[in-house]
Amino acid sequence: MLSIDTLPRWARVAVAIAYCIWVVVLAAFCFSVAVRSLDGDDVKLSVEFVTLMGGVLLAPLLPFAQSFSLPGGGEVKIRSTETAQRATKQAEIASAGLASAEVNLPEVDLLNDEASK
Amino acid sequence: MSVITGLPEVSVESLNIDEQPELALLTARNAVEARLTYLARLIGGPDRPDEALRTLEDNGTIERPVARAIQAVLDASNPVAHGATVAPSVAASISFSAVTLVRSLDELIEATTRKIREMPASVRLSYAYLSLPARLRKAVADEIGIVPEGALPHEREYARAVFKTAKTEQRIADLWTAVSRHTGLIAADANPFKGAGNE
Repeated sequence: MLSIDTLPRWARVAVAIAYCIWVVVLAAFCFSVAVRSLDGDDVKLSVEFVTLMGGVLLAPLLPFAQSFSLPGGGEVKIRSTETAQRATKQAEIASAGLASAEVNLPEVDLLNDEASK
Repeated sequence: MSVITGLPEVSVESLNIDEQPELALLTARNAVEARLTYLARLIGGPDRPDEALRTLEDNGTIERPVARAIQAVLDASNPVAHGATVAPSVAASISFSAVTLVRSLDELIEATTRKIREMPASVRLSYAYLSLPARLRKAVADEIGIVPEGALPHEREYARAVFKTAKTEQRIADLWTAVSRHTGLIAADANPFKGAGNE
């Protein structure tokens, strides 16, 4: 199943920008309706209309609601495989570094403590 | 469980990633942290996983870029540690990274163990005691009836007090026996203090 997780970063950014533009356009439309109404134009702001516009604005937020959930609810996911890819790369770097590492053991002799450092 | 260090062993095969990806990820992370903490204890660091990496970095054992890389691998599982869920594929990838780190750290621990085994008996006993987590340091002290006052088991002063009392009361052989029950660092060696009194 196609998931936003599987899209490359640039595509996800594009989707996010498109979403923001869409929200701004819708909000501007709602605002213009409200202004025209206040100017005396014949705009009927019925309860159904306001509810509909609110729904149109809020509905796209639902897929994002999961990530707004608090940790511990079992709703948040590590969404991106980038995290895993980064971990793999860092593990390789760390392993290479550890291969040449040597523990700097301090001089410890608790029985002859005066010699301990 | 490692015979030498008592650390939990972990392998890709032992992690049930498909069924429990979160648990697998945290098990692998725990294995890394346990090894870092073990090494940090050896060099006199605190018995705390969250400070182990910094201790090893400050000591010069691990270089900064390597420490950062290790931290990045640990951080990858932070969301899961706080209750998030994770897809098995992502958990597998991060867990494999952690297991890779575990193997590298095990090699470092083995090399360190070889180095310690070449040291004099009193130093070996000191490192063996310091390699123990705080609860086992206290268990050893309790076992030989030494109750250090004014210090906590994770503090160096506690260890000093245990050794000082053991030396004063000529019970170093008992201390060796008690410590060797909890760590393989000296378990294979004959007790050099038996019948010899204090060194």
